[in-house]
Amino acid sequence: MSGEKEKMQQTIQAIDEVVDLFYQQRLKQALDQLDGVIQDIMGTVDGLFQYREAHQEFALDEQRLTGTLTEAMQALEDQDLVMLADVLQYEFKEYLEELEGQME
Amino acid sequence: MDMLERNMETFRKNRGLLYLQLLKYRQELEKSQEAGPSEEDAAESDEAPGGTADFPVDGLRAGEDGLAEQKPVLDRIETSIARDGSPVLTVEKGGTTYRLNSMYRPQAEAEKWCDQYAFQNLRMNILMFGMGNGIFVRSMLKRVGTDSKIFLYEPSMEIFFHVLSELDLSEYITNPNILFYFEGVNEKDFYVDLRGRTHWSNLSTQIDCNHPGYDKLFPKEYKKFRDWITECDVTEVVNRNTGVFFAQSLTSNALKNLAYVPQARQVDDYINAFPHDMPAIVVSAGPSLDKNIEELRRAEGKAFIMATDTAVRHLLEKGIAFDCMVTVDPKKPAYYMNLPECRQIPLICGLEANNEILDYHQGQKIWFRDSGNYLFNLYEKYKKVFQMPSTGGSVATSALSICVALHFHKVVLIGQDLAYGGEFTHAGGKVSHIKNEATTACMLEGIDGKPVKSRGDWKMYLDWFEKYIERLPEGYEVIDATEGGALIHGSTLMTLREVIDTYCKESVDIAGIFAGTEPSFSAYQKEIKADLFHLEKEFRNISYKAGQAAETVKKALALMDREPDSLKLNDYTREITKANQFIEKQNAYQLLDQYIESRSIDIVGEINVLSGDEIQDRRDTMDRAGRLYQVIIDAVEELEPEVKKAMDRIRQAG
Repeated sequence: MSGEKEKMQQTIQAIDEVVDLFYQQRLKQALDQLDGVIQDIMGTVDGLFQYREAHQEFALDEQRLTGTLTEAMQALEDQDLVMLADVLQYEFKEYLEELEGQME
Repeated sequence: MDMLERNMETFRKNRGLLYLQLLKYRQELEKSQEAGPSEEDAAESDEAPGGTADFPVDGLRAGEDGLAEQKPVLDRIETSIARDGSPVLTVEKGGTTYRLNSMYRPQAEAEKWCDQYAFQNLRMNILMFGMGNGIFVRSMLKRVGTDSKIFLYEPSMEIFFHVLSELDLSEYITNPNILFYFEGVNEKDFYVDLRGRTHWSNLSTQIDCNHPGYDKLFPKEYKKFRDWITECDVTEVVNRNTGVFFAQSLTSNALKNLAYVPQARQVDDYINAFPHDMPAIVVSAGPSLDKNIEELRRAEGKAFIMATDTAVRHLLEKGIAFDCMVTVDPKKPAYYMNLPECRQIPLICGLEANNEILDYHQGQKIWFRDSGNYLFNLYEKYKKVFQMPSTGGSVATSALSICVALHFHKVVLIGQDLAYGGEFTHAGGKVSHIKNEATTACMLEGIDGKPVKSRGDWKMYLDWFEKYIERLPEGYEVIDATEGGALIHGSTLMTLREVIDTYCKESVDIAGIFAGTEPSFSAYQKEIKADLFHLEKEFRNISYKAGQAAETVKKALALMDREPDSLKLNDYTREITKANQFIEKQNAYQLLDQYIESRSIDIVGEINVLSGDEIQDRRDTMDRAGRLYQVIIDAVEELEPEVKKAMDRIRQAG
């Protein structure tokens, strides 16, 4: 398994955990963990760009990726934490899973 | 028929009383809309514009119960559709949007939310603030057992009627596991019903939660909700600890006092005996009693004067007559009531009151509470009502409750400081400390608005008084004529002089009324004595059955270890169930129960907790049952000498 894929799986796991906390309204815990998750996401996104460099056939929709992250950050700024969880869960994470499926 | 009407029709068919309450709410709302905003509403709406066409700025209860300032103003309520087709409720308040469901998959969100709670336990109370559009409730309903209840508290009628107009709520309205409470409609029932369903053994499995977003939307209502729960839980723990502390005295007193049952009366025997418009004065022994005790002379014969046990001596020392006295505490020192002058004054007490006091007393004994349900069952057998006014934990709270039960429409409290008078705790310059008093010291609002020093137990009684007053039926009034101490919100402040001048007009032969009331069982003396003597056999039966059941448990546990799926286990379970039913049917069990509870706190505390592993839960249940049976057997053996003495006393009483 490539390093990027492993890192992606860890990020997906971290997103799962923080999203559960948001849905369960355990907000302090969720916000404490969110910093770390954002770091993981940034690292994963960097990794995805590097992977694309090395694998020309890897279809990465930059706009979709960055658009989703922008939506998530907007939800965080609006303090709409359920929306944040939704975007992370159903937009960002599901796209990561799609991309993971394409990776070696 | 539109959705709102369909839902209301479902309410009408399934929850008749609540339907009428909701209807009344809607009618009052429509009337207030036709009348237009009052000056108060106009002032409010200047400060906080908003509201929907159907629900203007909610000034409906402006000025009532101080709720007006807590009413939120919702600018917009909307139901849209999520990506999975489920409804999404969105509310706007003060320019902020609150999305109360996921825009993507509300059902999945609700499932995730439910995952944090343990719903597998028995007899759970699930207390939820906010119904929303019901999606979270639906997820809970899939997980809870039929013996659990969801107390659903909706703080916003605006949201509720919106949802009622948009969605079919019949799955919730028809579900007997759900209890509905609506702010402005029946919110006062929440605390009462919760108290009725809470036992300390189901506290550990209780879930209190809020619909996501509701805590931010309705912070004041949420705080009130949480305060009620805390009070209920604390009361239950205090009751448990009190029960444990008093268990031996309670049972011992109850057994000894059985001798008085044939000749005693109970509160219900005096319903409508006294004029309802005559004031009842409850005399407590707080420091302020010294200020106005002399004034009481003018009320003699013109008010029903009820002395709490601690106040009896003060009144007698001053030569002030009173009509009856009340005692609650099973360990109340007999000193308070062992003066010859009070021997013939009617005594209102519980079956478990200090036997020394009852033995010294020679007048009418009037039960107002029971030990377990022993008296209740006995009275029921002879088709008599045994009313049990709530006690509130103190003799004064009990006294108020008794006066209301007797239908006195005005109950006056004197000597009810619930605060220190300088360094003194009681009238006559007396000081009576409690354990850990310093750690519970607190400041309360005084009757003059200034802070007064108080302590934890008094604060608890103050809270009880205030909640009790809130729930009084229309036409009843509590007047605080203490002229000092803590402010009891909801009471009317008057001096005792004013009370007497205003309300003590007619003379009534109160002693004659008491004298003219027959004992409850005057027509059944032979039968009642037979029932009392039968107790000895019932105790033996209980011990025998518990022994048999304990043997069955041993066999069942041994079989579980060898063959956990054996069908024979069902036979053992049936035998144990039959044994339990037999034991609980013995009225003697009511007297035994409190005694046993104090010795089985750990076992009973686990009784509703399930692990989710069916085999382990079955084993744990059997093991607990076995331990409980042994506690029962030991308790009966310990109490045998007291039971024998009780039988002798009944014989001697004639």
